[in-house]
Amino acid sequence: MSSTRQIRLVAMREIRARIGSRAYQISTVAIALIAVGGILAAQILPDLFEDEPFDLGLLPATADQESALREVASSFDREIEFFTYDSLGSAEAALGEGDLDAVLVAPDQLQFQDEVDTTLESIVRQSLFAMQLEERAEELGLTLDEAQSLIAPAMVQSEVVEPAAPADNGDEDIGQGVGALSAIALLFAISFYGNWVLVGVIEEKSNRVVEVLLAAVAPWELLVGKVLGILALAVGQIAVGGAALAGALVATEGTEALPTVALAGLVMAVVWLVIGLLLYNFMYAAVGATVNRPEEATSATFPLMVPLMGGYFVGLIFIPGNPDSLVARVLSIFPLTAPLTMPSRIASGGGSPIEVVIAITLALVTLAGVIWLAARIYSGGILQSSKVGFLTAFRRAREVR
Amino acid sequence: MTVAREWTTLASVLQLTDLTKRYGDVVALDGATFEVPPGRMVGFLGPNGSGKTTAMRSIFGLVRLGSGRILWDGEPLDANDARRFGYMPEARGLYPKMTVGEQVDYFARLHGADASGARIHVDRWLDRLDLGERRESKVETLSHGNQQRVQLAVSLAFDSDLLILDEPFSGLDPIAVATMGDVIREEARRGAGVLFSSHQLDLVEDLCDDVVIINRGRVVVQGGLEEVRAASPYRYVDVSGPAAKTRWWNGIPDAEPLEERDSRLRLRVPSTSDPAAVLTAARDSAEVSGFRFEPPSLSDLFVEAIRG
Repeated sequence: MSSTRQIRLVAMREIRARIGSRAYQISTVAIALIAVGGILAAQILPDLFEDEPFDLGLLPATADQESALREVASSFDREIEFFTYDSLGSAEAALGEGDLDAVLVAPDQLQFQDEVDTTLESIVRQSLFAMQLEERAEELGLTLDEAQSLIAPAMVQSEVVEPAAPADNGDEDIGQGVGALSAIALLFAISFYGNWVLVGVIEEKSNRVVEVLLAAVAPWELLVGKVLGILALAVGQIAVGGAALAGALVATEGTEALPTVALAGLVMAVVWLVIGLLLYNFMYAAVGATVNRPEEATSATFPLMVPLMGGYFVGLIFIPGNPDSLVARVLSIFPLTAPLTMPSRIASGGGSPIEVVIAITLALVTLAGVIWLAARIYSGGILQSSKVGFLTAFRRAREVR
Repeated sequence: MTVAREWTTLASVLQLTDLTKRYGDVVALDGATFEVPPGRMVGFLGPNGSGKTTAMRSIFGLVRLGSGRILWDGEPLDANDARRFGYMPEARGLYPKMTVGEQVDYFARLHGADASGARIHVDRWLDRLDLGERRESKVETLSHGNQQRVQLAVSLAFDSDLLILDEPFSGLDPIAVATMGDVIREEARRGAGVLFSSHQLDLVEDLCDDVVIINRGRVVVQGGLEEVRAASPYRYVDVSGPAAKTRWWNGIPDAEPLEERDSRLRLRVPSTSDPAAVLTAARDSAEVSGFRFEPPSLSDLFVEAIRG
């Protein structure tokens, strides 16, 4: 009977047992909803924060200002909606009820209800100045062009000796945002699915089914099957989330929105997710084998929380602004923090291809070591009826037949 | 005391030789040696802490032995051999949220059955153990007795070469004990060796073909039950009636009274004693209304082996 078969059976049981559970179904729906909600929020939020047009009341005496005001407002990147009233009284009434931001009583007289809006005031002032410039030029016997040239600001020609690469601030911001988000998503995924592994191992140990299992399966086969089963469930949930995300993008932006999602970045994120889940889930399983009750797990998982939280905070806060700093370089290559920091670095514009290759290679080599170590600790701890230390479990590891 | 048998001529014998295991200062196994032949029910007896569970777990590699050899068919036992063995550990363990059918199917497949084979085993064992109607029930919803039946179904869920059952009858009602006893005996008839431990000596006596008694990690008695009984250096005499109240047994060499109650007397005499002479001595003292002269029961053997 091959190990592959035993591992597949263990993994399939893990998948079947969880996929039908309410917890898995609810969390899958939640992930899909979060993905769709994120896209909808991205569509709606900018509109919420966009400046609303000014509502400006005009009277017969100022009605002719409309086009000049609209022109100046556009140079301020703002819009004005105009409402013309027959009398000052009716305009003031509208102002009092909050229908208007201000009333242009005369070309040089602006009336606000309770507070002066300096932007609107500037728009009106500049519009009036443009209008008066023509009159003043006439008085002085100048053409409008002459007057404009008189008040035109002096021109300074600037030259750049070594132009920097053209930077699009918008893209940079998006990259930093994606970098921070990837750190959050990876921490969430590793903690969430790691907890499944941890609790699963403790349950099998505390209800003693593990002794029946180990009569038929080697400890390392049981360990690998469990971790791979949960990895498959994790990838399944994330795929559902990804599909929901793509669906929401297509629904709101059309199919042309899809190519704008950087495929390479996505592949990298998935690669690091899988590596991160494997690395940490094997360690969570080893920790689970050393304790007897879920309450004991919190303190036992502390050694895992140090690199996990360290990588998370650096990936979230520091790396997006400093993707090529020394700290970013070191932590994105160190195998236990790389899954949380390298995707953040890449998204923030840092990390050369060679660094990525080195980091992945190191992580895979470490993974092999972690599997070996976790299998030893798991074997030594899983049949102990009391809590044991990592070193004791390692020493007690039974010979795997 | 060991009664030699021609076990080695039979196929697929499990041989445990010179097993040792220490837990710190505690000696769990101290050179334990015994065999489980095919098609035989072997009762594995011993006081608490005598090493029964450790020996059983060692068969599946669940404890690392200090020394010793475990052979299957004359070859060192490996993981693939052990996967062909059914195991019911002392500390029962099942997945509480899995259904009965899924549970048995899963373990059958882990022990080597393919999908269709596992299905056949599930149908067969759930039917045989009266669990057919609970097939879709989660294990956690079953009574203790029914969970115990599922545990047995899990250990039987494939055509195992050998069954290792640690206290299979504990906590069962008499009906369940009878069912489980029948099922295990059927497995032995099929050709599987069965090693089972129990403190219910009367039950073991009814069921087992062979007996292994272990004390302080050493096997002190082993062999076919009848042969072991016959080989005992003692015979047990039960006398009832007025003769039970007299001291007629003073004249029997090395006779030892074990129990004197009302009009009943139980004696232990050397196996070389003549039953007719013993009966005559009792009759000469007073009236005898009942008389039995027998080799030791399993309980007697157990006490002999443990107390010496």
